[in-house]
Amino acid sequence: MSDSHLLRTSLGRCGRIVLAVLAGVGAAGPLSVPATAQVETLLRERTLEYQAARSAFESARDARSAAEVRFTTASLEVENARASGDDARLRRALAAAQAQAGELERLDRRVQEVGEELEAARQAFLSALDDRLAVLYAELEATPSLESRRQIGDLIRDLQTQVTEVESEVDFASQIQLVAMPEVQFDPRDGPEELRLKAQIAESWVDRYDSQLELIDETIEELRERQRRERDFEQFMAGIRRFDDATVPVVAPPPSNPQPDPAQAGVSDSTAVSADGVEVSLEDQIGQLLILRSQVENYREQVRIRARVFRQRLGGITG
Amino acid sequence: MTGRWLAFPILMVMVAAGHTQALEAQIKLRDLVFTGGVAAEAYRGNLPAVTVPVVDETERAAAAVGEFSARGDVLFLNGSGRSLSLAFDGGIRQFAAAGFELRDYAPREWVGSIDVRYVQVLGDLGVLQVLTRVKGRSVEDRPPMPLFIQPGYRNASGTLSFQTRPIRDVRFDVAVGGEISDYRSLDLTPQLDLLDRRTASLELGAEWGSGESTVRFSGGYRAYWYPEQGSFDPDDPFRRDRAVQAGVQWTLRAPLIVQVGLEGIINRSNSDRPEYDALSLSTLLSAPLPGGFGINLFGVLTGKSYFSATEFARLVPGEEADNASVVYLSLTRALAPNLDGALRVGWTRAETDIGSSYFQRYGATLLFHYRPVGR
Repeated sequence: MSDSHLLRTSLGRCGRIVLAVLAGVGAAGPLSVPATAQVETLLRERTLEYQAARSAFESARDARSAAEVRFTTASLEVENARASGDDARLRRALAAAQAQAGELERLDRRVQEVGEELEAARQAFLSALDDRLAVLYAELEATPSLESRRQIGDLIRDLQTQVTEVESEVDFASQIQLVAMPEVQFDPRDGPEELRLKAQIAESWVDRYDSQLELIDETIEELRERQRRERDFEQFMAGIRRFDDATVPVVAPPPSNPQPDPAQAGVSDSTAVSADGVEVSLEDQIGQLLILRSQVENYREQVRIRARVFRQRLGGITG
Repeated sequence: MTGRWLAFPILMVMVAAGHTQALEAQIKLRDLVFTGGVAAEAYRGNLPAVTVPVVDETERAAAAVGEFSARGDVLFLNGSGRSLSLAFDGGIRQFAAAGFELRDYAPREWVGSIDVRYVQVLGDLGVLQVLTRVKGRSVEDRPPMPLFIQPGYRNASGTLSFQTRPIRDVRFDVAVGGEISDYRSLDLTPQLDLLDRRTASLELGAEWGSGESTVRFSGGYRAYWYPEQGSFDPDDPFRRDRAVQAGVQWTLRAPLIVQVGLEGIINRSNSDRPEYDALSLSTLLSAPLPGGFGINLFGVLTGKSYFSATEFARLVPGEEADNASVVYLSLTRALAPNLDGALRVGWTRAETDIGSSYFQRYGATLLFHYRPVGR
């Protein structure tokens, strides 16, 4: 989310409140609220654009996931071909893997592009929702009929729900980081070779999730250590400053420093402000990682079961 | 009384807030720490300070000290490019002092502070921050030197600062601030009013680096008004100081926290006696040690040279030191998931040019920090 979008959204909300207040005053004269029809048209357009952008993003993400499976399959075929000692098969497998790698790279770029487009469409959609809400707030105050006010109130509630939902999708594009293994299902026509390949695919995903879990655990441990260090430091400085112990006798308290010490802002994580103005504490980061960890664990368990089923069926055929 | 007014509610509210999860559901309680500790302290020297109520002949005193405090940080708003938070800190400290010739003293300090911070992202330009702070302290049974305890005061300050986005890897910042300090005088110590002051400041800075290591150069101008102090100039009767400050600060954030700063100050006044040049070196360090221990260090060393010679005491004793050094070192360790222990030792030395008098303080404190929420 770009900061200009953030600012526009913030101003949109402020503007809404100001309009409502002005409308409440009543005697303030004609309000410069955007024309209803114009705002509604714009909202319809933005809704369609957002839906299209989201659909395009989901398609791109699905296509990338499928390409990743093809690449994994091709890589496994290279390993099998190498193990078999068949040079012709190895050459074919290498060529196929190379082609899949290129395709995967292309789709990675595509996902990134449509992700950015989706974010822009999301912001435009939120802005249009804000404008529409501003109009409705003004209408609500100007409408004498109870029934009409109730209807407008319902509309406002619906739109507010929509705003909350769309805002909650802020990390939509980043969800790509947690990739679920695409469906690789048992097919009654599968022979031993296909079953072996599918089992290998599933097992490779188990390994992948294991690596992710290891990485997440390491990161959590690092964050906890950092959190402990920073809390230690904050506590230490707070203890010294609390009773003015760092102020020697005969020195008046120093003036407020525009750049407070690290324990008060900056070095300490608890006051860190990210580029988009959202304060993310180490506690929050650890919490997010724990959620991610449980998701990865869940995925890993599903894939592990699937790999075992493939192996059992393979054993049934060959045994 | 202000210190108690701030400290008491902070302590009581947080002690009473046993169901912190319910509180967390509405607003985000980012941190809450209760601290209790005991200390043994020794004091040497007998630097004259006019702001203390009585004078004692002793050159040595000692005290046993107990303290309790609570501090926390609450986030009210976070997102859409803005955040609003409130930090509070309050505590009480009780001394049992001995070694004076007049009598034994039992001073008690109450302190409290509240910070409110609002941060607003201004598009691609940078980040705007508004920080307001009220702070107060009160002291009962304030002893004579050498057991120096800061007098009670009320203080309010505000800072408006803006830091740009990196421009060719440099972030520029500007801050303007103001402050009012009102010392609490008593019947026996009306001279404390001499310390009352108003301050206005402007600071400009530029910071290089990002992530783990940064270097910041800064320069600033500060104006002080002391409405209760005379300047010995009938045409301009009250003391006014103007100070220009320049400094550099290096900060490393991982795996250690290290900060080293050097700051020079040129202070000029409409009164001859407080005109000086000063240089201050400060160091902060926090590092992990084997066995789950951690070490923290804070040190400041300040030296002054006066602009013009005078034949009498330069400063209102109790106002400023010539040379001052402060060092604190602590060793910490987690004792349980929510409980940390710390052993802190401290040393302070200050001297003035009045008969080469000095003051020293040595202390060792055992502290326990308890966090009822989070790890």
